[in-house]
Amino acid sequence: MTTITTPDTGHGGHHEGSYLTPNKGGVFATIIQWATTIDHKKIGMMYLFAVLGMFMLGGVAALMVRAELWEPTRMLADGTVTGQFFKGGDTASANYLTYNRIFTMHGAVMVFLVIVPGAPATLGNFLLPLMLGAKDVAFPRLNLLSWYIYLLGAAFAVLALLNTGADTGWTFYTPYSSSHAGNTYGNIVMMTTAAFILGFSSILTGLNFIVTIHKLRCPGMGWFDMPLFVWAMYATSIIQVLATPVIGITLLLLIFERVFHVGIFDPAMGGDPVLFQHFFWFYSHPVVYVMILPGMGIATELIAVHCRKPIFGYRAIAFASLGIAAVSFLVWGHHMFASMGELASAVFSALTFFVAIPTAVKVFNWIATLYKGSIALNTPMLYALSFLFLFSIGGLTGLPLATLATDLHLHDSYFVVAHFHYVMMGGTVIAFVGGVHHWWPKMTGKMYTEWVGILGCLLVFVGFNVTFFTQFFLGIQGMPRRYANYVDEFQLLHQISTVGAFTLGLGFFIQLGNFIHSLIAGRKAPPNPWGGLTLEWYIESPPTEHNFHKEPILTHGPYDYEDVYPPHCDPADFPLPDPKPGGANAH
Amino acid sequence: MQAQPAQTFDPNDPHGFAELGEHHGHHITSTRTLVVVILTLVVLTALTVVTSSIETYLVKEMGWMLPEWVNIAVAMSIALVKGTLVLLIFMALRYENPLYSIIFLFCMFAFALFLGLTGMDLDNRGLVYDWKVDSQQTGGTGVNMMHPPSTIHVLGETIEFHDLNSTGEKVGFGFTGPLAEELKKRYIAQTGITEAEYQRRWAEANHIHEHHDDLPNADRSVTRTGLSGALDATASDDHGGHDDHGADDGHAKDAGGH
Amino acid sequence: MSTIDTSTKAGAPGEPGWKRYKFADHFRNAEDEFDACKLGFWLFLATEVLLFSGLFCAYAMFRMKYPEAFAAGSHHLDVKYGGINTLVLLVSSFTVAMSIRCAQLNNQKWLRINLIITILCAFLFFFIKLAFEYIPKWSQGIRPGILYSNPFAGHPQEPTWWSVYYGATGIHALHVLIGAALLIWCLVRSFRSNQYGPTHYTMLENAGLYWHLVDVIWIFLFPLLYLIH
Repeated sequence: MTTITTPDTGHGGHHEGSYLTPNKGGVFATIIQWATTIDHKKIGMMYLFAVLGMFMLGGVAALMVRAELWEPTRMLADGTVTGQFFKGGDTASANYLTYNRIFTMHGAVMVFLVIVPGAPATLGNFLLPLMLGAKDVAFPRLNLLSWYIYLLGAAFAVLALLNTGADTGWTFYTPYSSSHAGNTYGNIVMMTTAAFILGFSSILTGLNFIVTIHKLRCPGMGWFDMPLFVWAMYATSIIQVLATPVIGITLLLLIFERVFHVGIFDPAMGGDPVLFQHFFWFYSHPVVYVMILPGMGIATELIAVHCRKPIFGYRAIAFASLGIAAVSFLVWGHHMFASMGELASAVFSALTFFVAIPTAVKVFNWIATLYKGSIALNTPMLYALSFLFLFSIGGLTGLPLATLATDLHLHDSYFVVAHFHYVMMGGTVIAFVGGVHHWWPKMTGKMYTEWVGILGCLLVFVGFNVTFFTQFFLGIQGMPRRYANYVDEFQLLHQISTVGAFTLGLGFFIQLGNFIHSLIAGRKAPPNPWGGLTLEWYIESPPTEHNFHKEPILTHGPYDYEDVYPPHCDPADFPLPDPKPGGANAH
Repeated sequence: MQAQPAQTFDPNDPHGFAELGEHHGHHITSTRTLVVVILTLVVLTALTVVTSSIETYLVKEMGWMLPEWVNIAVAMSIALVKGTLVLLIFMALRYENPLYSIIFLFCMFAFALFLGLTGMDLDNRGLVYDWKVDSQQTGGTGVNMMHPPSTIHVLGETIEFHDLNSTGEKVGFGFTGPLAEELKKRYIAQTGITEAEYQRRWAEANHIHEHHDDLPNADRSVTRTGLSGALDATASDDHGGHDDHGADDGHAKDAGGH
Repeated sequence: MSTIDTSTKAGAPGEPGWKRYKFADHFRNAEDEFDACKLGFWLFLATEVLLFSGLFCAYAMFRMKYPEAFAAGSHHLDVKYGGINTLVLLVSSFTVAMSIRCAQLNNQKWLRINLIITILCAFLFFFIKLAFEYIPKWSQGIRPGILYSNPFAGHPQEPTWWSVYYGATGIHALHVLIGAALLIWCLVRSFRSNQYGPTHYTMLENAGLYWHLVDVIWIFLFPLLYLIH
């Protein structure tokens, strides 16, 4: 009877080192080895460090924004401190434009450099082949190319942001961003080129994942035996492949507009500025689902493993992922209710309500999974629970924004800011950090300190809610977004929000310290600390170069906690409800 | 565990890996099929050009009023057939895994969504409020939207706006109106010709023949299309040619003009 | 296999490249690798189509708003050259399909001849475009965007038409060059080591698919740009 082949760690002498083992030739050889690697695990780790670094950059920008908003009038962006850092213009005009440059930096870095590549390129790259039982992704060299394209785009973006930056907002709305080059302060062409380059990285990653999932599943793994994280990555990759080229052509047209003044977005030449918005949001709406779908996949895995309960409604969640991907293409106009004509607004409003359906299916399935589960309240689970709560708030607050009548008041107010931070940060980032905690033992072979992780999670949760829940009230009361100055009545709420933001920053800082400490002095991680059943838990932590010593043959589903003993674990720790003699898993 | 089938290469078998159990070998399209397809494509290309000439003939000579969508519909139908032939036969979608066709159809679906919904918006901008179409004024406003008036009066203050670059210098096109008009003005200023001479050169550059032949006179009657007001025009009317263009532009001007 | 491995040669030296090719070891067999590469390439083609969809959308929106401007502008384009270019691309599609057929039948000589014809067609397309369309128009002042300096615009909105024209045909011409580069690379490899044969012709197949896509896009661009009334 075929079983899962487990690596025999008793090989002794010729025990292969892990993928993290430095090259015997020394530091320089190790650097070259990492720079030319086609191992998906190394590429995933490199992405992880880059993404975390960019997250810190975007986070610093966010804290600068919140600090500026402590007072109703100018504070930091007063030409003396930051005005000199961001070059250009005279003191009087540099104030106004500096704040714009800071929030543009925050938005552009977070969207293009952190969240869009975030979960797919880091956890996706690392885990996808492992979960499928494959040796690598379908096109390993393309994977490396994708990484280098990301680096190139990141270099362009950081250079552009530090060299006068851009003050258009990350959405580059015309006609401001397309006006004659003298109007906007900043290097728009460089910023848009950076985003254009990053788009290619995204496309190639998505392409790689789709082919991997189609072609490299191990024997015994049909489509409905895959972990749901893989389904989420599949849906994400479909969106990446279909939507990203449109932002490519949009940014190209924007560059033509700025350089040649082509006139398609400028009413001065008979063009239409709202056309840019259509082009832009046709990509940028599906991309928010690129951001959230991996987060949902991670949450599914975390909830299933830490409740030791098969996920409720496997096929429903799988098809809901695909459904979200499909519907995401239909709704981009809901970002433009105030710019479009009424007919289109009505149509898009109706379509937007549809996207709530597959999302709700998933949320209810997660809650049903929790019911009567054996919940372990460790750090990843706390993140997963936070995700459920915060994402639900984010999703529900999308409904007043989808409704035309209420949106007219809430459009471009802090309500929108709070909504998207709840879904993007409370959803994606929380799930991503939870996933990093969950798979940290697998990726690095070290355990982090549990109580510090829990402390960090609580600080993040409290800080996040204090920051952004108050912003809902600010928005309803009429505070517009992207404003550096505001009326005095809003000051208290802004100050509460700023305190929350710094708490949030502290929480992330503590987690970073936790990770660094674990790398230096953390205890060695067992192969399967959580009792998971998906294929990545069958191999060592960290894995060897080739992942599996022999090609695994799958004999059970990813969530069969009631039928199968988890690998590398003491059966006493993870008992089965009625133990079957012999078990399906022979060691 | 499970033995992998031996990877053998048979030099006599042109497919080489057929014995690995894949029943669909690699389809080799026959020369005959390819030649038939290319000839069909050439014929269809000729057909596209011919149909467009027919349309021109019908509109100009026979005076039929073909609605605008006919041109697009006919041309795109033929293009669709041609494109489908290339996709199915040259790119072998017909013989391959249906997955590739599904990918392409999804792509087409996204494309159709994009054009359809964007077009729905751009076409119906003025349904409720007329002023929402203003940005689509024919010829363009010629004025940079960022600084529409050059001086505004706010709270007792007069503020002047200029196009400024990052060092504070005034830049800009120096336009006072739409691009085409601006170029015409500059040309006339440079060459010093009269308006009538300009009109003559313009008609020549755009291959527009004098319309006098198209007007009915005592010796011949000519079918006219367009707004009925022009039916009264005769061969002696100098503005006949330009009125035609005025009539054609009427629709666009109504949409954007005040 | 932790670094980029460029040696995929196995088997006796002196054999043609296609016989010596060994598939990457994370695939189960050569068939799987071929299918995976083709699937990946079709996904990439989908992205190319969506890239052009932006241009088609800009075209459609502006033709909807300013149909007379587009008609007036289209009259300045010579259908003759557009038609010849269409035929050139169609013939090149045919020859590249034939060259893939030759690879499948191990007919190396005709594989290369067909590839050469395809590449020549690509350069002919580009030459006709430059010599008879772009350069004469440019010298008349018909240029994209703010560079437009022809005082005899047939319609006030005609400069937009020319921007759309240059944008669409320019990006298409760029793709023609990229496709030609891919095919030249295939030709070089074929000459150097007989790289394409019945059991291995992945790169040639994908380059051919790219070329067909470039052709399909032109099939749609031609009536949209040249045959408006």
